[in-house]
Amino acid sequence: MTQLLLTRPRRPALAPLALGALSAALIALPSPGAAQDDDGTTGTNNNSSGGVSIKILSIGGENQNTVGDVWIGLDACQNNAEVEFRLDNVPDREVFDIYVGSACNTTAARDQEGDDCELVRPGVEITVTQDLRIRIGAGDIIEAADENVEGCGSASSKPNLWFLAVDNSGTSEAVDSDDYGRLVLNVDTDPPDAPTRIRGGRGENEIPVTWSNGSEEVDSFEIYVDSGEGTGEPPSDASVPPSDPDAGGDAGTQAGSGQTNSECGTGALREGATADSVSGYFATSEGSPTATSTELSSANIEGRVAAVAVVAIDEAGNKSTLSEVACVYVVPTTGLKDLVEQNNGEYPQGCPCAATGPAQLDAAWPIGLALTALAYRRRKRS
Amino acid sequence: MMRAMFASLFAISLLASSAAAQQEDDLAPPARNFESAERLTLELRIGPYQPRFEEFDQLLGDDDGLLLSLELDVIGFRLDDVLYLSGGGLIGWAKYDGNAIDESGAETSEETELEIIPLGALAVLRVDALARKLGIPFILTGKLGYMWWHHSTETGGTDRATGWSLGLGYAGQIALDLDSLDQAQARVMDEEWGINHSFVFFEVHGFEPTDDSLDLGGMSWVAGLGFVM
Repeated sequence: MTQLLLTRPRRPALAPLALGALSAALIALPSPGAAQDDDGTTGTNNNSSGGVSIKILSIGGENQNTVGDVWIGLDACQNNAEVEFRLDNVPDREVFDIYVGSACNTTAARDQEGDDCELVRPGVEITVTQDLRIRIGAGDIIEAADENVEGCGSASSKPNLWFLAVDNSGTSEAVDSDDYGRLVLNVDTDPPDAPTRIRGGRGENEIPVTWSNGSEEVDSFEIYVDSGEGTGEPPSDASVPPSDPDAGGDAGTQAGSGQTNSECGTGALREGATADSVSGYFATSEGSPTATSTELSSANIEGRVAAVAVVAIDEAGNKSTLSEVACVYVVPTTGLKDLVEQNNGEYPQGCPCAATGPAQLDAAWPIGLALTALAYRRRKRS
Repeated sequence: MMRAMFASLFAISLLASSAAAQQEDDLAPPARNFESAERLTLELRIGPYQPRFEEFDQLLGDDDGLLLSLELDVIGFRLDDVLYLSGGGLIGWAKYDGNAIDESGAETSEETELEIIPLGALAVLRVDALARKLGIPFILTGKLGYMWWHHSTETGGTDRATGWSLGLGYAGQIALDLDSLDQAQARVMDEEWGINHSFVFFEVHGFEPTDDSLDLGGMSWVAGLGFVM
């Protein structure tokens, strides 16, 4: 038997290896039916329909190659940022006419007086049937979608963008479903309201900043910090207003309804200013739409005092103006560990594994007793 | 002739009635007197707890924590319908938050916190004679054991420290025997889940750590739900 074992070494288990390799290969394969190109930009946006599949790849050069809805915001509109579309399953026709409006695949809609369908881009030449890329200015689309709105307006809308594959540009003939693609765009050029009731705190390592949400359509928040001593001294406990009237705790100070806060900062942060004008003061962001606080690291603050303001951002990337300006203070703090050490000389660790002598005995005797009882019981049973 | 015929009919009817009775017996469910073995007692526990050391009172004294814990006892000896002697273990968790103070002793906005994870080995005497013998639906329990409470603290996301507090733990408990309220349901629970008895309880418990431990000791109460399985 020994000889057999020596002369016939055990083979490695091949089945698990084969399964693992197969799984890895399956994961690496593209899903059936999905077009795959070098940069991995596959699929369509959720709200596209028709035989031609459409996906927004980028807006103003910013990658949007994600699953889910893509939004066009005020900034993209004002700068007429290029929206890059990727079209797949393109039919063998000469050109694309691109319209904004409702039911633009029908003759009636395109012939109708009153511009129910607005031609945004005529005669985009069809060169490939897969991965055809077309760029259109966001401002051009939004302007064409509603002529009654001046400039970029201040509203949310969902215009239909039609890509009609035709042989003669400008034709009003009806287009088969295989020869067009439709994308419902999400347009929001209305910035959210600025957060309100900003409070800055006092701390040594993490200083809380709290706020109330000014509007419902918020996706995230940005916190701006202006490190400048100002004239401020850390308020004593008695002068610190509560962050929440119901909670009654300490959360620091807040500017009045003025433009800036004279107690802190250099005056760079001003209530109502645009976020772009203070981009150099960006400190951190909170990604949750329901966030009402953040912990500001003291590393974000140079010196002992800083001004802080918050900006709300909606899902289209529109930024509110700066909130009112509050102060945050870096002060030495005493926590539980420090206080125990101050009063007792050290923080008692009493670890049963690391301690020696009496502490170890303290920790171990009940275990010993329990093991002895168990051993006695087993012996009695056997 | 007639008499012989009547006798035959009587005999046939007797046989038929006997067979029918036998069939009814076969269809009737067996008597429900099943009772599974009692091996473990499980307690799900919740209650406030505050360690009594001075620094806790100063920084975290507003936080009752809520100590969540679970106790599992192995029944070592059972005197039927009178008492259980068990040995078991306990594990729990509580977390306390408060504000650190500045040099003048005033509260700052920075958070300081303490987390405790009590572990314990317990000897348990559970007397159920009142409920089983006298029909008074209360169970009395005493516990004595040794505790290892792990504690960790941090302030402002840094300034961390951890350690253990060791010492004696004790408890007295009064429980309402739920079996006495609905015996039929109690039997179903035993047949389907193996739960012999269930009870709700109120317990007063204490912890006395050694001198070289952080003094997480104190007395408090917990309430909860228990099962004998």
